Amino acid sequence: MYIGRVIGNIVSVAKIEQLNSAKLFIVEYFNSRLEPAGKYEVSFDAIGIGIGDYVLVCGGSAGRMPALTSKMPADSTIMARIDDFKKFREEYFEDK
Amino acid sequence: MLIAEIIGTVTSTIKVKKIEGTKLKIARTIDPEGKPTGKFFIVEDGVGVGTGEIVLLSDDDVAINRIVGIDQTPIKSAVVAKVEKINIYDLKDQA
Repeated sequence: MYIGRVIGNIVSVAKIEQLNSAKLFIVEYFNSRLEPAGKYEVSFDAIGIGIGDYVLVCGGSAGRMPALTSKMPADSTIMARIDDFKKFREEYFEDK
Repeated sequence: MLIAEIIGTVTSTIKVKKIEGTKLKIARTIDPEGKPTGKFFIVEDGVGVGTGEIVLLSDDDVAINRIVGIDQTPIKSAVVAKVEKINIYDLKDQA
C-alpha cells in the first residue's frame, strides 16, 4: 500500500457504466520520508474520505475487495485514512 | 488509474487473434496539471474518445477483458472514462 494525500478530484460524465457511482479522487503519493513524491494516481474512494485527507491506497486487483468497488475497474483504491498525520509522522520518525 | 492524453491511434492488420476487433489508441500519461509524466500506453478505447482528449486509464484486467470482449487479451490498459474536469485544491500543510 502507499501513503498519500487526497489533493483533488475528477469529474467525468462519459465513462463505462461500471464507473457510474464511483467517487474518483486524485492522490499524491508520499515517499519514504513522508514527502510528496510527485507521483499521482486517480483512486477509488471506498471509505468516504475528503479533500486534504491523508490516506492509504491499495493498488492492483485487491482494489476490488471492498463491496463498494467490487464491480468497478478499481486498480487503485483508498482503503484507510490516517486520522492524525502529525502524530503519525512524529511516531514514524521516532523509530528511525 | 492514470490520467492520460490520447495522442494517436494504432492500426494493425497482422496481429494475434486475441486483439482482433479492438480500437487501439496511443495514450501519454500526464500529471493533474497536464504535464507529461513520460509513460506511453497502447490502450483499448472503452468510451469512444478522440485525439487530444483527456482520459482515465485503468489496468484492471477483469474490466479490460469485458471492454475488449476477449478473455485473456494481451491489452493491459483501457480508456474507462473521459475527463470533464480536474479539480486540484491548494492545501495548507496540515502537519
